Amino acid sequence: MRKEMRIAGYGGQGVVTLSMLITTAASLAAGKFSVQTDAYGPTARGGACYADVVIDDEEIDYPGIIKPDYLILFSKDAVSSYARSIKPDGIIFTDPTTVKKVPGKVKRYELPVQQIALDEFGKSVFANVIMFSAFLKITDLLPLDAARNIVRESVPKKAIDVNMKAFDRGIELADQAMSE
Amino acid sequence: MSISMLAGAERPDHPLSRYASTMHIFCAGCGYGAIAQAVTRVYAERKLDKMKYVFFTGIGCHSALPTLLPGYTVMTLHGRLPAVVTGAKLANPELKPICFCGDGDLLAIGTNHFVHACRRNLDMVLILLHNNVYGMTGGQAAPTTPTEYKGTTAPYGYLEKPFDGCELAIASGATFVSRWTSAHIKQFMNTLNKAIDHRGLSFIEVVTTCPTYFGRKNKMPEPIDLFRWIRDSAVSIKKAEGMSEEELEGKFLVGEFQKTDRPDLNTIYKEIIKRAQGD
Amino acid sequence: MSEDKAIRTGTHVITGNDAMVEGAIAAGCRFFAGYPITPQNEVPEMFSVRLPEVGGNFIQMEDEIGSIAAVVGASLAGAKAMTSTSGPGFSLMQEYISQAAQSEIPLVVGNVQRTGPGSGIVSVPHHGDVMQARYGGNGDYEIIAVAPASAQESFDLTVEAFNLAEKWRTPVIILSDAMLGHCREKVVIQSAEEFKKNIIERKIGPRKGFKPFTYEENGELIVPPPLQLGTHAFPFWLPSVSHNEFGIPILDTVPKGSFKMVKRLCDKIIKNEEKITMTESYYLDDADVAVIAYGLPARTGLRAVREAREQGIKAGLLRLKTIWPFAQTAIEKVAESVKSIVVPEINMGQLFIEIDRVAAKKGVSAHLVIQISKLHEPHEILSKIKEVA
Repeated sequence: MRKEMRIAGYGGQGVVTLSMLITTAASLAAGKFSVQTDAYGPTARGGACYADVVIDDEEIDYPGIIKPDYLILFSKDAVSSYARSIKPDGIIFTDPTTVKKVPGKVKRYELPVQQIALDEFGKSVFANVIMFSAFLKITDLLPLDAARNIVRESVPKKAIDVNMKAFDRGIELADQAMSE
Repeated sequence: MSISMLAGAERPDHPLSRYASTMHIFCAGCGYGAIAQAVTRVYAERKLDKMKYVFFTGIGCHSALPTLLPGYTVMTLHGRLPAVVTGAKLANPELKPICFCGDGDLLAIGTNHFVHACRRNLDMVLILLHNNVYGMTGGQAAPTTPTEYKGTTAPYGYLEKPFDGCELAIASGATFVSRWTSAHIKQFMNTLNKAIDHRGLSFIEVVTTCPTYFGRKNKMPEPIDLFRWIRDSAVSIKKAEGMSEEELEGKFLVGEFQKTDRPDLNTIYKEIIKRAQGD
Repeated sequence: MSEDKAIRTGTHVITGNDAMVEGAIAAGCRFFAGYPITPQNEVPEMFSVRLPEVGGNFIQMEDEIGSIAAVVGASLAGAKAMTSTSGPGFSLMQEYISQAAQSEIPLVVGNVQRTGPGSGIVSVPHHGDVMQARYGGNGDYEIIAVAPASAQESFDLTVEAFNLAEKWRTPVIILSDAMLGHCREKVVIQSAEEFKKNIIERKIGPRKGFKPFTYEENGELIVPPPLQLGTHAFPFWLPSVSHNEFGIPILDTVPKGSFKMVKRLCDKIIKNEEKITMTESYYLDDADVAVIAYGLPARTGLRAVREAREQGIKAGLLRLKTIWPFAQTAIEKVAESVKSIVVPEINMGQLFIEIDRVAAKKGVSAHLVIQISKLHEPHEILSKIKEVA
């Protein structure tokens, strides 16, 4: 089943990293086909950017997004640009640190991944991994064990433990959000 | 010249065979023949290995030198010689290219590649044939045309300041830099011998004569006029030390300006491979 | 320097740009010269990491003109060599691409296309260099150009580009684009043993009687092994001016030899079109409408074709993996069996000129679907299919 998602925000927010984690987990650990593409402006940092991921059980023809099933939006600009492009039964993910309101009636999860990363892990970079596992838990898109392995393999040895904790924290956060 | 006379092209066994068996296309009084003979003599005397000591030329009158040269020759595009040699040297470090460029070739269209080859200390002998004009295309002014001299594109006199190839080479990082003229053939051969042994970029500028264009346009119509002009304008480095700025006006220095040692491009790239492979 | 380091057997998730580098190194590329320009920067960056690992050389040159010149030098000295660029950088390289075609020097140029004209937009895909790839340099010559459509193909067709360059002794251009270059996908690389079976190694000509340039023998064109400086397989003088099959310059006032040289260079590619071109067919057997496309738009085209089939329209796709030489034979065959042809291109219609020519000859209508600076959406191609079905 073809699933499409767009992650949008500003350069430096981990948009591309998150999309890479998803596409790598889908392709290598879950045995699916996946394409990740990104769009960016001419600036190295701070410009608006987005990354798209398509996941399918079969080889993917069109590599772009037709109508996304999921949106992960990290900025107000991203909300105003893309929130309305989603499928009616899609899901939007935002972080209350950067996004307060989202127009429309699509299902939405507010996940304070930035705050948790800073408060509990001391660095905002962990927001990516927390969002990664929370997103997969809520969408049930890929097996969590496989995704966990991809994180383990893609971080430096010294950082494995803390990233595993962040990964588990994301699942906890998702459980909490889904029960609310 | 009919190129079918290049019989030597098919029997490259003797270093002088083609020299003996072919004609050249240079004008009467052109200095290129003397330079080619000097290079060929050094090549033959030292019995240089043809598989290693290869020639490169750019585009200009000197592109026709291969009819006289005793080894394999690659003719590159106008100005691109230093870049082509960069690739060839990295792909086969055994080569020791002996290269000819014209003044338009190296100091106009190819300046970028030239200064970077000097900066990289590319291991080659680079001979700049400086005849004050674009000879092959009909005598247009070159970046080496002296101020107030005439060319077919400088009918009112060339008022720009010319390049000094040796100063440019030194500033860019060439490790062996010298200048001679086609009136200093023995000195040139001596320097060429040293240049062949030098590891790094050896730059030799040879000021030479173009009676057909530079001479005729500048009231030196006879080859001998131009020969004398060059000989009399050349001042040795040592002699110049005792001369005032006024006395040096309109003259140029000849001799060996710089000889230093620093790692050449191939040595540097060996180090990169060593680092990458963690040896 | 083990070959294992050169051929990274296994499954990877990498970008089109990185896949191009892996393909090149696996194919035996040991020299790269380049210059930074977006959106191909990952290519030189990855080469700078990878080449020294396998004993090769990466050099960042002073400009694109120097980059292609250094690649020519390296190829002449016996290395399989490549450069990559984009936008105006590709224009700067045309000078030596034309010369390399004339001197029959094998080399590969990766062009990760971006929008033009001029500086254009650096980070978006555009296929504006299709005609430049063929006609960009001065003079009459033919070229080979491949057009990958996925990260996997960025690997596979780069390998193929090196093989074609060796076999036909010509520059081969890889026409990628900004989107494909940054598109991350699964890339599977075979075992080194399997892989090496399909590699054409650099050959050296015979010590005696070597004719250095393509020549005619009993009406057949013979492409001799590439020139190698530092061996006997080199003409005593390699002129950059027009030459005969021995490498002797053509300086006659009435240059009969020039006609022969140009014709040989063009015939070498054009007359072997069927041997060189690579295409892939989807649902064409009973198709009324054929989409003909290359690069990423071929994937959009495939999606549109599938959607058309779901709606009961007999559509099919011919995907061109090589753009040049033009796949005349394959396209003629398609034109003979369909009623109309749809050509989606991310440009104002460049290859369309050629396809339309063949279609007109066969009495079939051809229709262009233009897109600029971005990938088509499938519905754009689908609506054209429905319109002309």
